Amino acid sequence: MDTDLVMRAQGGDRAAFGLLAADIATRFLAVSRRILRDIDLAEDATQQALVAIWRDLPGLRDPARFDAWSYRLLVRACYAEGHRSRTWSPNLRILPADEPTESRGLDAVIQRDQLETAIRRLSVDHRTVLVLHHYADIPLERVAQILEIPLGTVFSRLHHAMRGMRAALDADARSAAAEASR
Amino acid sequence: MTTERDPGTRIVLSWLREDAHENAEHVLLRALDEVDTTPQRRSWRPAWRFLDMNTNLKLAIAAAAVVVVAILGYNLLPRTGGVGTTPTQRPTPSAGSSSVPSTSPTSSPGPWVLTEGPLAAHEYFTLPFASGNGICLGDGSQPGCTDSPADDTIRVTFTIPDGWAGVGGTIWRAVEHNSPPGGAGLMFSRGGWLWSNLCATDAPPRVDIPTGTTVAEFVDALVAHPALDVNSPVDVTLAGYPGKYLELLAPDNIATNSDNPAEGECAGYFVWEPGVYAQGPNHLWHIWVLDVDGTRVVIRSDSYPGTTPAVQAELSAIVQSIEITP
Repeated sequence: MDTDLVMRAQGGDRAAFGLLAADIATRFLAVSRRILRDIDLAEDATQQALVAIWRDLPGLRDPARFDAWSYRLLVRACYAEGHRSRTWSPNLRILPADEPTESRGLDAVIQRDQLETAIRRLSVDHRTVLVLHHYADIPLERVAQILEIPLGTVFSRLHHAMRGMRAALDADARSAAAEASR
Repeated sequence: MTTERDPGTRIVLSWLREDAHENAEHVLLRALDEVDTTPQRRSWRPAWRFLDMNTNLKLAIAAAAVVVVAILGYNLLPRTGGVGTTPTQRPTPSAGSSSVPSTSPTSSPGPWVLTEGPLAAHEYFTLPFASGNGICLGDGSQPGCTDSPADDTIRVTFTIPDGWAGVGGTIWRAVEHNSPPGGAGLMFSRGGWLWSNLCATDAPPRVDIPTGTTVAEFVDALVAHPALDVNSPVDVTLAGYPGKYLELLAPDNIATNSDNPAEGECAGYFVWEPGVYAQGPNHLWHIWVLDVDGTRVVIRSDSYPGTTPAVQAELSAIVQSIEITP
């Protein structure tokens, strides 16, 4: 991150902020979409986070920490969106990854569906740690800083989340095996 | 720490990283529209710091402040030969005076601000405790960290060669990171509470051993911990500040796949809060616990048996180049 740009935005330079926002918006939308599992909520969370960054930027004491600080505001926005729509919409629009090829076939579709169901069963807390670490490639120590929770809690949430996701695959494999043995 | 993946973990991670083709353009435009009508929150505290300025700039501002006070004082003095005072004009900073000092590598001749990502060989500085990172208590919540305002201004400067990267106010190897088998890193902390149970599986370990606020209290706690493999502390001076030096070695049963540890492995091996844990088997920490004018500062360099002698030498030279400004 260009710290000069951060400092100019801190001083009220809207053009500098525009460049900063353009640099992080796609990444923020991708992260929030994977946490919230809903594109509309993710867009709202990203917008909220960008506005909050602009509003609170003068209070950032160390511009070199912009990345971690801005992620913190994004996560807060995701929590707010998740809380606002506590009754998660039964949005079964699976992440529109590439359409499965013939070789991947139906199994791949079923597997993705199982994973989507499994991640929706996780709490936002668990999803957030999973996405920040394994999707955004943020080291666990920094995830702890972003979320302002102890590293042990981050570790525990990640472990729980991965166990839940792997269990979904195991269940899928077991049911497939049972189907085959009939 | 997560270099070896089981098939289930690989499938989950591959799915999580599938490209979903997000287009943030209209979100960005909506946000910028809202920003146009949103004022920034200004606190009484300046966003950039006095300590980041060079000495000449500080002196210039101090001199200007003296002049302003003198003018105000003169204007407020009772006038002889008249009644009342001459109205004073409130000094207002000119637009040019609010420009922020640059810290970009291309324009600053002194140390550069430590940024994220790969770094060019140069002298860098960081304010490791400006954004919290205090002494964490064992109450299970990060806000329990005692964020002392006294440490906010501590500035650490050091010189690095090519091949290193900035991450969260610290540095590590740009390619190998701080991970086994050959990684290395340099971290700064205040030295927080210790975990009595170092080896975690899936339950969060408890941070339950206090370490006080002094060099002796922290070092004594490390030495007294029955499960920590530490050598005898020795007196040391680093960057002109006195303290203790010791080494701490993680065991060899640290899981290389923390997502799915094997039987008998530690999924996580935690040392102290915030965020000090083993990245792999035989993780070696070199620890300097310094008294910086009454504030405890812990400097830690990390390496592994597989870290090359050349990288070890670079790390040692970086440590020796450290300067600390309280």
